[in-house]
Order: sequence, then C-alpha cells, then structure tokens
Amino acid sequence: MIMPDRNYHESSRAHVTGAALYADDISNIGNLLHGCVQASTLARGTLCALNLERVRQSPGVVAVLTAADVPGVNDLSHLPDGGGEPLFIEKEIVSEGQAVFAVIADSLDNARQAAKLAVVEVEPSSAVITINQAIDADSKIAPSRKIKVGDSTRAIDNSAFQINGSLYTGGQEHFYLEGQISIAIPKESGAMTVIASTQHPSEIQSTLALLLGVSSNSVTVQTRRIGGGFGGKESQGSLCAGVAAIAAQLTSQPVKVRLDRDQDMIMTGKRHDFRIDYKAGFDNDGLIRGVSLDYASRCGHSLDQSKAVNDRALLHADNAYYLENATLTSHRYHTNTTSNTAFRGFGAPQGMLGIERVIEEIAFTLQQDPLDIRLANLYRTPNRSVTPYGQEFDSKVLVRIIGELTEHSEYRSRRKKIRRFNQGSPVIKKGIALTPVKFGISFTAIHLNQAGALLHIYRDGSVQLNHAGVEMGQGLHTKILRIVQDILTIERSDIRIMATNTEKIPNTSPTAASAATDLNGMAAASAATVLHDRLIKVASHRLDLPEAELSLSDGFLHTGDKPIMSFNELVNEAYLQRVSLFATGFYRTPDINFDPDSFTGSPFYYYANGAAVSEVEVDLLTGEHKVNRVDILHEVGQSLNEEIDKGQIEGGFIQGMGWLTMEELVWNDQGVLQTHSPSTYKIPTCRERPSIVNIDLLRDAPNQVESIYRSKAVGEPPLMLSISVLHALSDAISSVANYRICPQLNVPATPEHILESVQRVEKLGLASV
Amino acid sequence: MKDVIQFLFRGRIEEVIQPLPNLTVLNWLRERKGATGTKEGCAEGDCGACTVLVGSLHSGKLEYRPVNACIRFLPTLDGTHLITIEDLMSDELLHPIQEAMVEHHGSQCGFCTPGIIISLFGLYLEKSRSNTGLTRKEIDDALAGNLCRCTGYGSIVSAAYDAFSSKRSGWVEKNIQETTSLVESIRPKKGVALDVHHQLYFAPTTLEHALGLVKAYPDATLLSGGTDIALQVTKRFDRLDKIIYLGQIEHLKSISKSNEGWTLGSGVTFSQMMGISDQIHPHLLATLERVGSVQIRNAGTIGGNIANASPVGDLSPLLMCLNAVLTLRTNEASRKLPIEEFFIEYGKTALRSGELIESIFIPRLPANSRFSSYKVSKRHDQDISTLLGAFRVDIDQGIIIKVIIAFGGMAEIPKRADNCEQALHQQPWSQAILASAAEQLSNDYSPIDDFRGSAKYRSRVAVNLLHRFWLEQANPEIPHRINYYPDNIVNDHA
Repeated sequence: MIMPDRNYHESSRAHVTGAALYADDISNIGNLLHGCVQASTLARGTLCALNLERVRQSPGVVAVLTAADVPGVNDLSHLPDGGGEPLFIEKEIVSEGQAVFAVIADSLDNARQAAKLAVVEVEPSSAVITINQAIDADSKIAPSRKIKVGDSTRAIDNSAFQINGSLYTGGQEHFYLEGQISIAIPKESGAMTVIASTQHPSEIQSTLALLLGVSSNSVTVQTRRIGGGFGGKESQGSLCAGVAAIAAQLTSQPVKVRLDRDQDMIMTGKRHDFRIDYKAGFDNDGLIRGVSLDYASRCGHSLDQSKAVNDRALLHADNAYYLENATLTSHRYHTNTTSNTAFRGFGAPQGMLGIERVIEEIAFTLQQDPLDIRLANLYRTPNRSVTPYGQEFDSKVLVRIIGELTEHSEYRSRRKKIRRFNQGSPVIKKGIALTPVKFGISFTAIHLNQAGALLHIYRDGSVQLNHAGVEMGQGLHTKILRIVQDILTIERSDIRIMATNTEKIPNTSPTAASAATDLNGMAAASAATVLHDRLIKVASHRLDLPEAELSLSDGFLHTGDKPIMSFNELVNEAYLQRVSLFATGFYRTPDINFDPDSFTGSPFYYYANGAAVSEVEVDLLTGEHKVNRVDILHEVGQSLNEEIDKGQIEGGFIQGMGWLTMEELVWNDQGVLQTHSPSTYKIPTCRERPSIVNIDLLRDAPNQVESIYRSKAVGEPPLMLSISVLHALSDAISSVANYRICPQLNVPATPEHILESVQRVEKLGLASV
Repeated sequence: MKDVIQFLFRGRIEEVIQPLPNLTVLNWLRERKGATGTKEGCAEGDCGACTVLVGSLHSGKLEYRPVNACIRFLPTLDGTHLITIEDLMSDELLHPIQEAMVEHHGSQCGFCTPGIIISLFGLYLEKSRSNTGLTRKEIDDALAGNLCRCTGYGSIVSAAYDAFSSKRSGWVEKNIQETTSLVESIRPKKGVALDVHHQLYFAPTTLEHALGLVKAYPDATLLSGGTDIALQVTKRFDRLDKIIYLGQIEHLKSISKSNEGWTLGSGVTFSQMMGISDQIHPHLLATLERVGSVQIRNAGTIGGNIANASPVGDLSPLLMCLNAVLTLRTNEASRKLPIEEFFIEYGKTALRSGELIESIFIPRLPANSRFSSYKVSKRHDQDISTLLGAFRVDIDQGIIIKVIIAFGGMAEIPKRADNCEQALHQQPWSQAILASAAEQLSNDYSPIDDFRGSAKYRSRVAVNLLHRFWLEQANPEIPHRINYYPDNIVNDHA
C-alpha cells in the first residue's frame, strides 16, 4: 500500500540518497582541528605521572588537554548530590575508559598517532567489577529504596507454596550506528556553538557552561538529527562536547571530537545489569499472596542517571500484576566499570523480568500454563487495581489486548502443537510464551515533563518549526510536522523543520522517556493554534466577517465551503496589518505527582500496554536458537503515524530480543571490557528477525487522557514485548524434563547459557524422577 | 611499474597519483571527495555502514560486488569501478530500491541506510541476471553484514521485496555497456609501485613479479582481501610501511577442475569458492556462507584465510577434512604441503621467507565419504566461531576406513583430533563407537575460556557436534539443526 507522502519520514529522501547530514558529514568548517581522547586502561588506581612531551612534539599537534586545562569545573555529572564524574581524570582512576588526556591536531590521524606516544604511569588498586563483588563489598552509590505494601513476609510464609531464586540480567550496549561526536565552533566574545550528537542539547549547554566557566547564554547547542540514541546520548554526549569546546576555546579554532567505535563502547555507559533475588508465596489458584523482589544493579563509577533508572525498575516491578503484599527493594551499587546510563526502557525491562520469573516459577510448580498464571494475577478493576506505589491502573485495555492476542495468535492450539512436535524431535525443541507489558508514561522527575515550540511564518507563507525534541530516527519530526500541518492546513513541503537548538527553545528536557511526541507535539500544536487564531482574526478584520464563519483548509481561507484567499495571501495580509507571525508554544503534563522519598504518587500520566507471543526453536546440542514467529498486539492510542509506530514496535522488539538473547558484555577480572566492537559484541542482524512477524495496533482505543490526538507514546514500551522470547526459550528448554523444572534462564540467553540451562534441567529432571 | 592508479568514479576516470597506501576508500571518499553518504560505523568491516560497490572485469564482464570501504585501501581500486550511494539516483529519480525504502519506512535514523541500500543494490544487479524470484534467505544473506539498530529490519525486508519486483533500472544498469568499455580501458597492465611518506606499496600483476618482491622485501605485509590486515591500520592505528598487494594477479584467482579434484588459486575469494562449493561437496556451502558477510566474502581470499593461521579461521578445518594440499612457491621452487602441516603453532606457519601460497588442491571425495561441518557462534551471521567442527568418515562395508576430525577454536591452531580419529579408525560406524571415541576429544583439545565461550562449553559442544554428525547420517528425516526457512512458513511478504 502506498501511504500519503506526508507520512514518510521527513528525512527519508535524504537518508536514501546519502544526502542527510550527520555531525561528521558537515564539511564546510574552516580550520577544523580534530581531537583524540585517550582513556584509562585501568579500572581502579592512581594516576601517578603523565608525560606528554612526545605527544606535544608529534606532527600536527596543536594542543594537549588534561584536567589542568579545564577552565571551569572539571565535572560532567550534572548532579548536585555527589554524582562526581570528571571530564579528565585528576588523580583517582575509578573505571576503565575514563578520559586521561586529549590530543588536538590538524588531522584525526595525527591526533591518534600522537596519543600513542604518551607515557602514563599508574598504580593499580583493587577494583570492584561484578555485582556480586559490589554486594560483598557493600559499595553503594546511592541509598537503597523500598516500596512496601501489606506484609509480604507473613503472606509468603502463610502460603501453600513458596519459591525463591535469583536471576541475572546482563547490560546492553546502545550500538547507535553513529558514534558519539561533537564539533565546537568558537564565536566572538567568548561564545561557543556546538553541533552535537545528543538527545539532550540543553544538558550539553549547561555542562559546557560549567566546564568553560561561562554562563549558559554563551553556549549554543544544535542537533539536526542523530544516527540513533536509545538513551545512550541522553547524558553521554558531554564527553565529546566538553573536550571539543575546551579545545576550541583554547585554540580559537573549531574542533571536532569523534570517538571511534571501540572508544565509544569502552568509555560510555550502557544498560544497567542486575541481580534480582525473588521470593514468593502462592496457593493452588496461582495467585501471588506475597512477593519480595530485591534488585541489585551495577551503576558503574558514577551516579549519572542510575537513581532514576533504578526508580523506574521499582515502579515496573509489578509489570501487569496486582501485588497485594510486596516488598520491592532496589540497591544501587558502585563498581569500577563504565557508568551505566539510560537505555530504552530505563530500568523497567529489568524490573519486569523479576515478576515474570516469579510467574513462571508458579506455573512450573502448579504445572499450569504460565499464561493462566499471568491472567490470574493481572490487575483487575475495581479491587485489584492499585499499584504498589499507589497509582490507579485501569487494566481494561490490557485485558482486551491479551484476550485478542491469545485468540489471533492461536496461542493455545500452537502450544499443544509444539508439545507434540517436541515429543518427536530429540534435538530441536520448540517453545512458546505470551507476556504482557504495562509501561508508565512520563518522566518520574516531574519537572522534566515540559516542552516548548517556536513557529515562524514568513511573508511568503513558508514556515519554520522549532521544538525541543531531537530527531533520532523515531519519527518525532514527522509526527510534529503532521500536527502543525493539520492546524495550518498547508503542505508539508511548506514547513521546514529546523535543527533542535538551544538558541530557539531554552531549558529543554531530554528526548527520552518515550514522551517527546506527547510533550513537543502539544507545544507545537499550541504555537500553531495561536498563529492559526491570529490569522483568522486578521481575516475577520479584513473581510469584516465574524471569526466563527472563517476557517482554514487545504491552504486556503474559507467561508463555509468557499475559498477566499490563499494561506500565503492571508499571511502577507497579517504582516501588513502588523500582526506578529511567530509564536511560542509550551506544554506541561497535567495531573502527575510523585514523592521520591516515600515512593508514592501518580507519576504516570497514563500507561501504554501491549502483549506479545513468541515462538522459538532451540538446538539442544549447541544451545543455539531462533525466534520463528512473533505476534504483537500493542496500544498506541489514536496513532499519529501508523507506519512509524509499527516501526518503533518492531525495532523495539528486536532490540529487546538482542538484549535478552545475544548481546553479551564481558569484562575480564581486571575490569577491562572484552567486547568493545561489533566483531565481539553481536546485535541482531536481519536473519534474527523472526520468519513471521505480525504486528497489530490495538484498534478503537484512543488514549483515555487528553494527549496529542489521543495518541500514546511508543518509543520504549515495545522493547519489553521481547520478554516473551526469553520465556519461550524457557518453555523449549523445560521440555527436556517434561516441563517439570523451571530452567531459570539468565540473560542474555546465549548459546552457552542455554546449554547450561538445558544440562541443569536434564540433571534435575533425572534426579526428580 | 606506475605510481598512479585509475578507477572509474562518478562516470569518469579518476586518476590518483601517488595515493597514500594506508588510505582507506572510506576516508578518501569522505575526506578527499566530500562524499559523505558512505558512513563509518565501526572501521572494522562489521557494521556495513560503509558499504560500496566495486565493479571489476571477470572474463570481459563487469561484476559489481559490495565491499566494506572502511577496510579497503584506495590503491587496490586500480582498474575498477567504484559506486557509492550518491551514484544511485538518475535525473533526480530515485532508484527503485531507494524509492521502496522511502515508501516502506525502511530508514529510521538513516545512518545505516546508504550501506543497506548498496548491499541490496549489489543483490539487485546479481538478480537482474537471473529470473528467479527474491527469497527471504537472499535478503538475509545480502544484509548479513549490515547492522541496523532502529528498524528491526522488517521494513527493509518489505522494501526489498517491493523494489525487486520493479522492472525499472537505474543509471548503473543502463550504462553497463559503456561502463564496461571504460573499465576495460583502464585495466592495469603494469603493476603499481608507490613510495609515499615512507610507505611502500607494490601491486604486481604477475606471480613471478610478486615472488621477486617478496624476496626483496621479506618483511613486507602480504595483502589480499585485507579483511584482517587492514584492521591494523583502522583499529590499532598502526601503519603498514611495506605492502605487497596480491589482488592484481590473475593467476592467483583461477579455479580449475580435473579428474583428481579442484585447484583453487590462493587469491580466490570466499564468494568465488561458494560459487563452486556444491561441486566439491554439497555440505560445504552451509559453513562457507557463515564466514563473515557478503562484503567480507567478496574481499577475503582463501589463501589469506589460511596464511593468517588464525585459530578460528573457518576454512582450515574444512580443508583438513578434504585432504587439501597447498602449493607453496618461491621464484626458484615449488613444494606441496598437506594443509595440516602448514600450521605449526599460534601465529607460526610452515611458510618460509620468500614463499607464497600459490594454490590449494582439493581432491575429489570418494563416493563412500561422509562429510559435514558445523560452525557455532553467538550469532548466525558475521560472527567469529566459538568453535567449528569438520567431520569426515569413509566407510567400507560398515567399517570406518578413513576418518578426519578437525576443529577450529579448540586449540591455538586449527587442529585434527588425533586420539578421537584413532579411536574410530577401522571401527564399525555405530553410535556406541562414536560415543566412546568422543571421550577422546578431551585428550585432543584443551580449549580456552574467552568471551566467545568457556572451555567447558567448547569441550561439551565439540562432543555434541560429533554426535550431530552421527545423528544426521543415521536419521536424516528428523531435524537436527535449526531451520531458518521452514517450508510451512508463509513468506512474510505474501
């Protein structure tokens, strides 16, 4: 089916012809210098001596930067409460990948060659690398947090059955295809313009102001598009931007700093890895009477966004299930590894894995279909509808989704078929699982739920549109163009979307938390509506007709059905009447509140729901597997762009599948990352995409709260649909002991982990016969 | 010898005088030509964002193949046609692949998109010569070396189906005649010799000349596909000061067949070998097509894979099973060496100073031979083996009269399982015998722990692979491998 033109990604033509410019493609900058950052190869220790003489003498070198060269505060953390994260190491080394110094040279090659000539003397000391080491050392980076409802200990003890266990989940590298990069261009009177690949231009701006020792009004940050972010460019862009800006200030020349892939993977943060200890009590009906979930996460060497990430993990520890008696605890550990950061889902995926494991354990204990245990424990209005943190959740939509998906995917009959197949197949085993997702939309830091837009109409009727969000491939600009286009009723080609720029919209929130369209769409709609109304007023004045009789459609001013003048003529008329043709729009999400101290409130404006059924096959001889089919039913409200929403769903699913099954970060005992390039860190390729992918958007389900077009956020929630893959693998593995033993599969389910699990289940199965 | 290279670019002959030998095609495009549509994603040939097409003449016909521009040195383009994403449009008209990518939302962030399109375009040109419909496997094969982190690939797959159903051709296809004669006109007749900033580069066109150079510069780096060697420059930022490039020697690219078997020049690429592998043995292809990606297999040569002597080189265990024999050449002499004698220890081979691998002879397998090989890695495509097992038994009246078992990833060199083989030799072909012989594998190998897998995993899987070899021979009707393309699964485009 051919979609109307305006639905295509606004940059798609530029993408497919190679004309879309990313930061590294901008070539018309004169006297450009290049920076190379040299990172610590040691996880913990002291920087004893740094001899950079030969570096300075190396051909083409213009400057060498160390901590001493930072004019302002040597800190990237952006956190007042002790997140301390120096741009350059001063003395203490707390992780591999921390910047030691940077070389600025006339070419990238010269900078790289020079960097190799440094003599760095370090004194290693003992490092805390793994979660278990951190737990043993009790090295917390922030206080633990707890949500307690009812009395879980008593409820567990009084239940007919108890289960307990642990689950490890690995981290995940973002692997945005465009690596971290910034170009700093010095301007007159101490001003600086920075082109950055970032999801958060305003944070880069304020961080640079601190680093340079200037005020924010001296720093402009702009971003036209980025080659993927996924959370990895929410706070991590400051490193390149910081080095580039300091060097540009020092040399009075533009400076580009781009990390190569290995540096990028070694130096920047990733998804948090977790150990989840669970305990639960339940009766014959499969209902969870009491549950205790203990989350221990590896935060790395600095706080970064770890508090918020772990908060969100706790806020999603229930996933879709009502927990009457629950103790949910989150411990945040300091380790001598890269500082973990935002990653699509922001802790929620890990949060959900715990309770989904509990569900699975119950199903194995009671020898029931895990789907029935899920259904039994699902939130239900009115008596089972309050989350552990006190927000009301109406599960009607989710119940509908699971019901429709179960039917359309033929889950029940396929499950039977698969069991028959497995009986006759000694080596290849199939498995199937359905898992739901309930994901809360809004930043839990309430103040971030705001956005702005700025709209200019020029005399010829053409429009420039600015808003606070960054286009990172998610189709944000495409959706927002549509909103403005609908209000002004002009062609998309008449509107030019401008680079996101701190000069245009100040104090922006990161493009994150799936909320960019919700927030910026509303802001842009507001600005467009202001201008629309002004134009109607102008027309009313000119034509001496009541405003109510005038309207804009198809680029014309109408009375009734009759076109009177074109949009362009109307705009010029407004100009002649001396009416302002630019407007700002602002939006703040209503009705949300959260007290992070008591961990109570209604932090989410609404929830986005979905469910997936995955079918897999596992090779018992090697542990290799393949996802054969996935059926997804997901809720996006009234979609702003169905194709883009489906793209987000599929992309999120596959990315989550990568995290759960193949992407493995391995550090050696010394805390040196072993998997720091695509040759050693494997993300899904086209072949991993299941042979059958059925993605449906839930029909006739507009957002119950007032959102832009009654749509729903779609960036993060679908990632967690991939949890169905993990559970389908588990189903397949458990077939080796006739579905009696819970495989307790850890994440990522690599061939090795699957084979271990197979062996464990076989052994326990024999023992229990 | 000449100090200038010539290749076709943007419709005209590009002459580069004294190109820097370590300059990659990617950096030349981006930094010297401002052609920034081709991206750097990893600088190691693993993500495909830098994919370009290189057209070269094969028996008078111009063949275009996708390669990774990030690990291809510019001087090696001598005599070729370079196509990048910027070449695909004609008269402001998008190529059908570009058009379909727009219409199917095949780009999200767009950074991988040019590379994806070029890879699909390579397949498009290949398919335009055949009349068979596009299959999902062909798409997966073509894109195995192109990572996309946004889309989940579905929209790209749909775009491919749509584009390939178009009969419209673009600029490249329409001008193929003219282009062929242009490329013909720049066919390198003379070798290249460069001396730029103390970097020496030679691209001889004859074996004799190459051998002379190898003798004169015994410390030079011998470059073929460069899929491993180039990483010294692009990842470690080392400089290769002396390069002898073997890719312009036609003799090394030849494939010949006799009653005794096949002789493959050491410069034969993996892609070329795949073209004939079915004739050597039908089970070879399944492993060969898991070596690297299309881009890597188009560049990487079998001689390079062997000479590299990596413990995880995928070809060597296969060739050991097939009793392959190497021909090693100097200008004065030629000797033959069974492949297993080539590997001495980690990083050390039997290759003597001044010597080159000229060819690999693969004898015909007797009719009573059973052969199979299995590659195991974290990911199906473009992944280095955790381990690879190759198995061959020749059976006469139920008795194993010849057995070769070889593994990669289990030792510091590709290595045969002597004890296991001994336990099988002259024994009945039976499950019990195989099971007991499998126990010998722990005497043959002491694998290491690394990020690809633990020693325990490798040892266990090695035993299991031998078991699979038995199962597949004994019960061919039962599935013993993951089936990526089951017949009963409806094509997702239908």
